[in-house]
Amino acid sequence: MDIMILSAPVNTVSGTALWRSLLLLLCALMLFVFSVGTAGAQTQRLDITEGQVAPIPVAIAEFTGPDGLPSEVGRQISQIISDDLVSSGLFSAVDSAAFIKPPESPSIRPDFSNWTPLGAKGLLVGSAFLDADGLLQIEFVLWDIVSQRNITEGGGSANQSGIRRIAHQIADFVYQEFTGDSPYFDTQIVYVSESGPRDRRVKRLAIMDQDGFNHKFLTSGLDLVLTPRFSPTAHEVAYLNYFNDEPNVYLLDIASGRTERLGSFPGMTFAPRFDPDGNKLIMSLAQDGRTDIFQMDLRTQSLSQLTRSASIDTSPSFAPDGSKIVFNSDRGGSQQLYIMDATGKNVKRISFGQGRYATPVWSPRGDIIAFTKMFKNEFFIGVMNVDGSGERLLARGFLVEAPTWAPNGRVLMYFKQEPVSNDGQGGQTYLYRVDITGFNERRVNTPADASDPAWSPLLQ
Amino acid sequence: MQRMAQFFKQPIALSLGFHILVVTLFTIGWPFFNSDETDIQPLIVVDIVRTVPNTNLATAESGGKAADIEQEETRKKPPPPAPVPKPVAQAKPTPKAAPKPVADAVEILPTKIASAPVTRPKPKAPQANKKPVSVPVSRPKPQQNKAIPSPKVKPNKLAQKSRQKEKADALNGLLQNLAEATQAKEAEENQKAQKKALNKKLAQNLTAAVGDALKTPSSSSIMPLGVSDIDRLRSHISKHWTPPVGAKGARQLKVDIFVKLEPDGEVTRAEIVDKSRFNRDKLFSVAARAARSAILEASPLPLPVEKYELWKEFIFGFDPINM
Repeated sequence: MDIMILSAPVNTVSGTALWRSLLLLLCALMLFVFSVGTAGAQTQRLDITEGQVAPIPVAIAEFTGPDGLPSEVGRQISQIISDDLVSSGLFSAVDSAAFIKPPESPSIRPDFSNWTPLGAKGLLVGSAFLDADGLLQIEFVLWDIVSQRNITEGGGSANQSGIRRIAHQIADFVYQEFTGDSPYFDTQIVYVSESGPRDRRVKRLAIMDQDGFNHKFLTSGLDLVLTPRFSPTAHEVAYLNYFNDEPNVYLLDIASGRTERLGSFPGMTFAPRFDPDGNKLIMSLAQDGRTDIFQMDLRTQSLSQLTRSASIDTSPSFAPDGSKIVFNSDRGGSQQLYIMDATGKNVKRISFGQGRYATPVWSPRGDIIAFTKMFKNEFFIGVMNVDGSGERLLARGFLVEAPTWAPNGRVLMYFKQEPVSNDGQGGQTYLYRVDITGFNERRVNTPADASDPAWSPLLQ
Repeated sequence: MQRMAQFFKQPIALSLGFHILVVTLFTIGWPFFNSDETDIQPLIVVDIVRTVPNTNLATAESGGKAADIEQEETRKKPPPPAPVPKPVAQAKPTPKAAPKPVADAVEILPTKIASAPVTRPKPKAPQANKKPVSVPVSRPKPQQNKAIPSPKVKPNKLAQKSRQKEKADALNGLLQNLAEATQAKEAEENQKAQKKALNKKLAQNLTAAVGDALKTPSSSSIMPLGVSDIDRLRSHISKHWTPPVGAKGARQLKVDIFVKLEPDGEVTRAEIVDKSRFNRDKLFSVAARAARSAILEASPLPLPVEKYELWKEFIFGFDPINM
């Protein structure tokens, strides 16, 4: 029996089910060949084009002393750094009360498992204490918590009076490492401080750190002063001074307080600004009913005229490379922005929007120009590309005016005046700053009313 | 290789390949499936094993069967006075009647039988001889030779019986023929049933094989990531990406991150592709760090596990152009 079964031919094995299956198999085979030919084993790629514009959370530990505990000066430094970073709008400080185990020394690698849950992306650890000679000794390390790597580190010593500056410089390190931008915390602001009744206003030059600390006056207030401008070295300030009711451009050496009148002209000079090298000064000179732009060589005090028109040409500002100058003029019938070569040739209008444009300032980056715009009884602070395109308004108010750039071209400062009510109240003038994205507008603290700010380059 | 890959990507090449494949299969496949059906037998073995014990248990029957064959042989040649030697001599031709099937059976069975029959020889022990049963079990080929002797033994018994009951031969033959006929019928029916079952099973196996081929998660057969997959992934990573916007030239900073992933989406490796620029360009290094952080923070990434072969390696391009 078994032999018969075993030897039984299986000719009838072929059935419809079998052929159906074979057909399916064939289809699968074809599908396989097709997919091999078309797909292939390639690494997938995906582009991410949108992210979050949110402050970067950073944990800033209180700087410790030799005993590993926070020192008094360490606390102060940490607070300055934290304030700087938060004021930029690009960082948020993780609440120190949430720290699981505060670091004891910058030389000890932190336990990242204590910091990751806090959501911090960066951790700043440092030590700061006064040595036997009374010098401040500082060390710091900046950690990337996500990748658990040391991003940067540094240290040094300073006099006790330099605590704030040291702290600003450390904040600059953090800012630069996380934004990729050049920093601006170790800078100063020179501005016009206003006081007294409106009809007898006292205007003095004042200087302070960018955060409002270390404030001091540069002039006595006997003369009216306007439009101060830093030299590229930040050692000097050019400004307009009404001495004996005669307005002229003066140069002030900040360290010594010595002032110097730049030339003697038959007309009025105003709106000075340094060229990028600091060797020349451009300004407006009004005489015989017309206002033109002139350039002065500071070494020889020789003057050369750049514009020649019957209109008012004023508020000149150099491009960062010194090749071009932007200014405003009413030569076209209304006050608009123009660009010309540094030699005064190839004048070209760039603003064509509604309203009037004034006080243009070329960004330190060179890519955009800030301006004041007047339209329908309102003032605006805005920016546009150097060809006049891409106009964006960043601030508005009853009176907002006189923009000035932070040295990294990322932040603008200007002054804002409140309207005066019928009973004579109001009219306060304050300094404000805003990110060029239009966010993070903040008031800058000053002891009195303030106007005409000028932002210094990074201090050296 | 790249040229080959490009060639295969061309529709004409694909079409040509398919046609050749189809034609080849149908030209070679038809005769193959029709004529070589016996090759399927190895698949039958599994079920046939069950028949073996029957065969062994019914040794007497099988002996009777063999005897029948012998009787048929003897009927064909009635005159032989010495039936014993002749069957021996004809024993060789006898298997020739069904040479291959026997050989096939012997070849197929060994390993299968080895387990079952070996335990059953005992009841058979008192019977004729163990060797024909046991030896072939362990050794297939010798069985061929010794399977032949088995008829040798049985004819002797039949010869003795035939002497004692010569008159009953015809009746016995009839009965045996009847029994044989019924058995053959049953066998045929069993055979058909088994064939059907085997066909069904074979078809099921093939269908399953095809299904498996379609379902197997190989990189070549997996459907690409869908729009929803990509949107979910992009949205998830975007939540963790804080690019350095605002810095000059930041919008032109495109950073590629090479990522290796586990099946659960866990990121095991995230590398900045342009390492040389990372080392020399400050702004790029900041953008690259932000991009890498986004990947690490977004881990595990929400990706369909069934398409793991597609996304186990990924390059994410972080482009802040829209920010």
